[in-house]
Amino acid sequence: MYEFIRGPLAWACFTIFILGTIFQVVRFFSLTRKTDKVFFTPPPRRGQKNRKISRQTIAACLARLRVSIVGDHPGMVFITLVFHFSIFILPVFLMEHNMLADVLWGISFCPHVLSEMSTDILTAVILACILFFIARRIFIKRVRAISSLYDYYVIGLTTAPFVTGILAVHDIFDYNTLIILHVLSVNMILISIPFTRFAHMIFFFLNRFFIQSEISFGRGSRA
Amino acid sequence: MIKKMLGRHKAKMKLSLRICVHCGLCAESCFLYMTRGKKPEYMPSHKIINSIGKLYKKRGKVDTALLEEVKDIAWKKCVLCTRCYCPFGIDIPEMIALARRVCRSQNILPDFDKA
Repeated sequence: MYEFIRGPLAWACFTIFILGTIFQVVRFFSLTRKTDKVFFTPPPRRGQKNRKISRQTIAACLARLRVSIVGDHPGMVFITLVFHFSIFILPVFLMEHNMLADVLWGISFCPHVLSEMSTDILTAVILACILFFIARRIFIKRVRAISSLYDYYVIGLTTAPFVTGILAVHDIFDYNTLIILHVLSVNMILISIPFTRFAHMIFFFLNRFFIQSEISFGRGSRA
Repeated sequence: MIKKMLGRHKAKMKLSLRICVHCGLCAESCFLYMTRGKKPEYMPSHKIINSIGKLYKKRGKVDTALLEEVKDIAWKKCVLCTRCYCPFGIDIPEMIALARRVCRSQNILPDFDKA
């Protein structure tokens, strides 16, 4: 059972994830069109020549941040950033995953793996962030107003691999059952990413970098 | 007619509705939300879920009551100032504009002369 889930099923899910992502990227470019290039050179500001970080530039940056979402919800922005970085770092730098890759294919994702202690801390951080998101959904009126059962399902599915993972590592409950649930939940997330609410993972980058808008991170060339 | 209109924009609208994670971070960017007692129904995401979201959920099979509800959201609760912020870059004004177009096609329009 475990061999099947870890083997062919995992590969099938990975394939769906990759093909689905490609499909969504292609769809994004077919749904948007290239805009005319705007030739615009901003007028030189005073003190532009001096590119060193000065107190004024820091103040200007802080002022810009204060009027952005960071100023409105600093806590939420910080926790969201920590959460999203952690859920990427933890599986890639995890010792057990790297060992598994080494045993199966003789490769390692990264030269430095996380120690057992930092793995536990990072998992605790992720779970704390998830608790914060759930609490926010329940107790903040405006978020509760738009929350549906599906939102809780998405949070639950995200939590599943971390809970089963940490329980399996510390040998709490039955290891085999936990590891099967762990791999199954990850497989489910993988096939969900391109087609469900998890698609924000793909479209965050596409929308914020490619779409020409006031809030885009780059210059944006599509509309 | 409604089905045709919704069908024309289906891919983009459904995608936008799907990637909205219901985070509520768009709230403060709406001046109506800020000035009307921070009521959740003025939040941009609440507006799109309950207008264009409902239209797509019902696959265009809508009654006058729902269109009246959509009209209220699309005109009274949004002025299309296009200042809404979405962390995922969802084009909220475009969705409200489509909701307005759907209402207009059915001759459901705001009563500006009513107090």
